Amino acid sequence: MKKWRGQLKQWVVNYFNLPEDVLLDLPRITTIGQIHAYIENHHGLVTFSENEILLRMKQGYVRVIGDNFVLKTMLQEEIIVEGKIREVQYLEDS
Amino acid sequence: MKEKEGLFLKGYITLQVRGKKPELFLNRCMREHIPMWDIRKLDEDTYEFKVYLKSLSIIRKIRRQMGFKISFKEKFGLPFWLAHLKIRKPLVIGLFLGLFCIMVLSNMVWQVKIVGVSPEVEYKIQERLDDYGLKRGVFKFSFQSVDDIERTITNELKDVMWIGIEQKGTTYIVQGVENSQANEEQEKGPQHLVASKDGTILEMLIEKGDPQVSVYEKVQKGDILVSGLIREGIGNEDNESDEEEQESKQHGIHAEGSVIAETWYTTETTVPLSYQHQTLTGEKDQHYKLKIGNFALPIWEFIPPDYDDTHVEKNEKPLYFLNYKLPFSIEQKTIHEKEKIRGERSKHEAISEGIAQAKREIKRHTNHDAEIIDEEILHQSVENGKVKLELLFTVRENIAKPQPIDQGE
Repeated sequence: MKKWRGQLKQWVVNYFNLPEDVLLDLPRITTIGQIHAYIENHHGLVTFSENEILLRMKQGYVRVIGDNFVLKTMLQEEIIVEGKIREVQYLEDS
Repeated sequence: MKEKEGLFLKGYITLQVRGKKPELFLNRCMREHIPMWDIRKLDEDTYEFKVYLKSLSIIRKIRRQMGFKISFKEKFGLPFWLAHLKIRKPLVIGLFLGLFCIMVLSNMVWQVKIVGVSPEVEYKIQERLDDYGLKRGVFKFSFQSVDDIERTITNELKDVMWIGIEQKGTTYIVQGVENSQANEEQEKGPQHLVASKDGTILEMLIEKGDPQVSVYEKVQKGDILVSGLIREGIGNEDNESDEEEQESKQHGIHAEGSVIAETWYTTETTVPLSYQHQTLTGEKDQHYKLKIGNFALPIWEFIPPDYDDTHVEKNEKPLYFLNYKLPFSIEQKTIHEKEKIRGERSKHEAISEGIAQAKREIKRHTNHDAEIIDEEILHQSVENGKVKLELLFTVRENIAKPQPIDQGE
């Protein structure tokens, strides 16, 4: 049932040419050079330190690795990370 | 980023949260929609972050539920400053007192300068100014309007032609122009003295010139009384000279002197038997109001006086802070009690009133040295409740009037 609904959503997105992140509740990550990363549609903060930030998504996690991380803003849907970004990783549910 | 506007006005605090897995605390705050920013990790179980002052109560609640330790690090913003000022009350009071003092002092008169007149006249003007309340140490709004003072002093002092009062901050500069004697003796050109009115000459005092009339002679308006043309040949008659030459040797001088004559005036006056006029009883009430735009706040005397009839004078003066005009002004309202006088007078009283009126009228039209020596009623009648009088006055006055001699020929 859940899978079927996901497929329907996928089809709607394709058919109507809609942005995926809105309907599918996927993370949207915008980086400005290495300085900033805007992470939207997250589902909570798991770990945060100077070198690493781990965020829960609807499915799996997103990990950002770098140096001197500071969270510029932390809101329900959006997190802004400032620092020097090196990597953005997607982790599957384990 | 919209969330971070108005940082200064709202005020924010830097907090430190300590405990196991502080991320849980942050997640919880996030779910409660608390705006947080500048979050950094200090060590394994300590985070530092900033929140608005208004979020503090919710954070306290969360802390109680989750058992984290929270310490305050830094406070910033207007709410904290105000709280701080509350502790330092003397400072605030002092500040306001200082401002208030400056304001009071900016609205006082610090100096009255009198310029452009001799010390003697300066003293007289000074005296008058003191009388009208324009002196050092009074409030700018306590005296009448400057225009009124200018006018009354100019009228009162004979030796001052004009007075102008200028305000420069807290200094008033009074500029005076004296009636200079030089004006009168400006022209020394040849002139006749002619009669300014019909009359009979009573007395003649000639300083210079050739009198053409004698005492008790009747003259008409425009007659030459003292001639300014003198023949030069009179002194040395021995010299043989013909008439024509003598004629040409005539030369003009500046005739001077006074010719006192008796003149007549007939006047007509009507005096009503019943009269009605308004006077001020002298009772008055001073009201002061602070005006801010159109709104007026009474400062002194809140209750209007219980006068039946009033005459109101309004005077508005702006307030100053140093040299800057404030948007407030002080309105001074003087309420005078007015009284209507109604009365009847007898025919006899009406006649004497009419004569007095006519005399005042004549005084106004003649020189100040004129003197009424006789009055006579030519005709009197009562019509429609009014007494009609025709009067003849005999006046003693100087009728000599200078008339320059044309030498253009």
